[in-house]
Amino acid sequence: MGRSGDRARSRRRLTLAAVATMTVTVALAACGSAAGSGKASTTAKAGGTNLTMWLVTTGPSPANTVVNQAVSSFEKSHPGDTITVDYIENQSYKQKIQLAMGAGNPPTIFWTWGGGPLKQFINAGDVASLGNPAWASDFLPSSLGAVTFNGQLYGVPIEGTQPVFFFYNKTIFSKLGLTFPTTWSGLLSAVSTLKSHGYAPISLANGDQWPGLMYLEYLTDRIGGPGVFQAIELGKTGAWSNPAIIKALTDIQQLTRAGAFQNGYDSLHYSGGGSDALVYSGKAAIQLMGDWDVSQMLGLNKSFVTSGNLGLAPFPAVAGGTGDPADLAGNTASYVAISSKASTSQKTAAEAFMQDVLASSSYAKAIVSAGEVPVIKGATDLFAGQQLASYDQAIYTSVQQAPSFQYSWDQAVPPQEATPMLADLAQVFELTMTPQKFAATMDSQPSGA
Amino acid sequence: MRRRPASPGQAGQGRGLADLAGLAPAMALFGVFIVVPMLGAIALSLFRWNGLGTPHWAGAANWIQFAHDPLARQALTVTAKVVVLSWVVQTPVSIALGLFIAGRQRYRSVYAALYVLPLLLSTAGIALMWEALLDPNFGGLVALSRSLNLGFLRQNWLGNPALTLYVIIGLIAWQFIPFHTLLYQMGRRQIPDVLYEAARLDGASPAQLFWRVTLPQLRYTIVTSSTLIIVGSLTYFDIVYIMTNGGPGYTTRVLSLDMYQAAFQQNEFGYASVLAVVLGVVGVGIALGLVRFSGFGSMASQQEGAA
Amino acid sequence: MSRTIVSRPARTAADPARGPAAPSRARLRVSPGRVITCVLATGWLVVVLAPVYYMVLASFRSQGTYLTANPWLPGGGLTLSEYGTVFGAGLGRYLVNSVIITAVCIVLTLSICLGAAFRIVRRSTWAAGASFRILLLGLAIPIQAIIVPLYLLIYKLHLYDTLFALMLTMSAAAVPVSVLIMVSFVRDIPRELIGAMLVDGGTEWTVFRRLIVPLSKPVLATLAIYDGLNVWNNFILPLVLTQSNSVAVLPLGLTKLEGQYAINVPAVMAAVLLSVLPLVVLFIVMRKQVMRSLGSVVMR
Repeated sequence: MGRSGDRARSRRRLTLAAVATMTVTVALAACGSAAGSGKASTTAKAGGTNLTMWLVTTGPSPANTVVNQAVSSFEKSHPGDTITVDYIENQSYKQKIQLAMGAGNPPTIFWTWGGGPLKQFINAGDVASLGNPAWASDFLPSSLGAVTFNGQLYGVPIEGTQPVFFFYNKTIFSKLGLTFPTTWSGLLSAVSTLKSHGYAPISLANGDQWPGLMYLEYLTDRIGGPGVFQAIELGKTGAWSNPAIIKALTDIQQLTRAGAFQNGYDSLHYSGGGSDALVYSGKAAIQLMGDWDVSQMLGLNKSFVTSGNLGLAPFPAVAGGTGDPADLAGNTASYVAISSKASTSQKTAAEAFMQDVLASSSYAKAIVSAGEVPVIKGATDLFAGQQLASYDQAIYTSVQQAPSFQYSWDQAVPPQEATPMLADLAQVFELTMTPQKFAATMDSQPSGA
Repeated sequence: MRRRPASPGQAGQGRGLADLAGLAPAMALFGVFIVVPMLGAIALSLFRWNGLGTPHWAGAANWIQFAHDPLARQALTVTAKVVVLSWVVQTPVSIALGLFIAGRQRYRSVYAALYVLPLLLSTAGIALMWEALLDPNFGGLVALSRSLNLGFLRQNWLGNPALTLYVIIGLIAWQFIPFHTLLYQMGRRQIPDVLYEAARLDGASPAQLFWRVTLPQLRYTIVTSSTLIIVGSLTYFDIVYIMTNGGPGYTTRVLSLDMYQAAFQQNEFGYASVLAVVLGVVGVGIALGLVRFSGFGSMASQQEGAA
Repeated sequence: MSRTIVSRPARTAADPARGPAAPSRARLRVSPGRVITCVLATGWLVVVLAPVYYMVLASFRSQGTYLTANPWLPGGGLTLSEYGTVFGAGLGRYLVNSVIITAVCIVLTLSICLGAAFRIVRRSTWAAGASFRILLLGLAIPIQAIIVPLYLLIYKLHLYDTLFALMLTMSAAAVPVSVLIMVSFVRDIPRELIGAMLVDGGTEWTVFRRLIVPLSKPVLATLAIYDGLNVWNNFILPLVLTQSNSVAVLPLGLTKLEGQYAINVPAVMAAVLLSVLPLVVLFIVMRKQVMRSLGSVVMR
């Protein structure tokens, strides 16, 4: 039929086309990142600057409103400058900002949790440095650690601090005549008392995996001090096999073996409110969670919180540990940073936004009313008369007095390590991986950003 | 088989032009927005890229990493289970339901309309709904187990490593059986009654009617549906991502989830592309194999000789 | 053009694949085979409806009570507050955008795919066979695999953050499945009819327009439903290819009901149910089409 010649020819054409396309695509990828120079956002209006800002959405709740109001007041006091805010959902945000940075198409101001991922952006030259501005001293020093690299500031807090505490159902505790333990062994005995009375001692939403990480963060700090994780962050060889980590993991498994966690803890997601429901419905007594849980609980079951049933307690000390029991772990704050692709006028306007708005006490007051704890100095006066004043004050005091505030490990480590760390830690909780195996696996991960 | 056209030259040109006009739009759209990016992904598998800056040439490094990665092997096994079991579960049920709603009785069309519901719901909604239903402390099944005294309903459905994968396979089936039911309904309705009448005149029993008439006539529908099930479950991602994220442990970590995590959580786009290519090659191989094996590619009508 | 038209047998004939049809049994209303079938079919109906009922009930609860209240019974405080949240989240714009891209994608996909399917079944030139094989390859390409290069491509084409980008990419993604299903259907259109039309002086185009298109109504309806649903519920493409509120679509709107750590589950349930309503309307309309075209005529 004479088709074989056609076929051979068309196959050759196909191969050529494929090779050409491959070259083009890789070239596109390569150009994309370099081409962004100066092409950041929309053109400026006459006499003013347009900025775009990407934030992680905090839902149809007060916190979004706070930022919107802050933006309006900025636009009023800086006529001609406008900020367009896009709110993006938490999980998808990381993906979107990654893509945008890689294509050279980032917003002027972008949300960041600081730590490892921000460092990657900085190393790629995507973030504008803020230098060492004087107004940065308005913030609590410990809150800026996650966005300071090589002595330079790269981000500014936009949301409050979120340290992790133990929250507990006071009614259950008083019914059993317990006070919240201040030592680890005390916690274990409380667990067995609670269990014998038919309660799930600890509510844990480890379907999300990061709630379990909080235990490891605190135990490691209590046992071996902040230096243990610092070694991991610096990528030192064998840092994960530090005896403090092994002991921390063993202690975690001790909790599991004692039946401390509720049935189905390994599949429960925090986002559905299930772990909170266990506590306020009186099925479970304790939950280790970030301080956002206070406003969460308030929204889910107002009377539980307003009647003073929600107890707050620091993580217990571990006997023989070298860490300071006043150390904290959690999100030091949430931040915004400026893209290096922004024009000079955009950068100036963005810094003005940070200095005039984000560092101001009126902004801090606004986020207090949204149920958060700001990280500026002297915020105590702002708590007066607020619904959650006692919680706010307790949290703020803890942050002020903490010798060290470790920001969440899944933000602090390079992204390649974060995923296996979380997945393997979940297995440790479920007793399907030994502490030693965990340390060995983590140590064998290729390090470096 | 083909009738002689009025004028051979004109018809030849007519056919070539017809092919161009008919095929070009679809192939162009498909080519630009699907094939080109896929070729790009293949190219990316030879580079190391964290999404920022320029890609670095890595040669076969990503592929070697894949060959030695125990987690990748685990993901392949899990994916294989999902594919095989999805087919085993979805096909018989879809055939049965499809035949059922192909019937002409009025009440059956009510059933048919209601069966479609899972298909209309967004995956996020389905995932959240089932998550709440299966919650071991508050869920609907727990409540049922209490009132109906059925202890076995109180499982840690999504946290028990022995159960979770099968639960996920079941949920995927719940979501997609409605679609394949529609396919089989359409396929059944295309079978001419005359075949059944003839067989019945020959004294065939209902069971024989099914195995000797219905099933063979449904052959191409089965191939279409099976191809879609197999390829679809190879690349299926949504429910696993939302509900278990690969857990507990790595028991539900399918390859497409592995790929997503490699790209967007671990920022290893090159390695992710390797997984993408593997998925694509396996899927393509199966699709082509099915088509060849079943004679689907011959484009022959099943009704030839029926008149 | 001659056709042999046979009308569908009257409804009293038994379903050929199930249950007997011998006249002596006509008096007996119910047979054991029929009963088992109905029981199993109803069982599946329960499996389908129970979770949806659960969803409906949950949508009438608040965030704090949807877990702790009885999941199956309405007691324990029903409220419309989360429906209020959904409306307050301003999903109207998203709904309009979703309708636009779904309608465009359905029309675009069906029109270009039927032509392609017809050419593939005709097998006139090597292009048809090659196209079919390429499309089969395309079936196996997962969207997550191409999402990054696709994003770069869309960006370079200056289509980023437009509804256009969504329409083109979603239609492209629907091509392999649609063509495959259409091929499976179109191949059963008898060759004699096509041949007869060609002998009568028709061209490939008139065959397509006058014969294939009218006869393909069932598959077009089925695919309108399937492709339409995929576009309506697609989340990852709008997520990656758009960013502004003005071009956001409904699935993205669902994420507005999520906080940084928590998801407003009852509101999401309410939003999902609300977004199903237009689909239900579409489906009811399409079903009438399918029934009408199949119920009257069958081709020999």
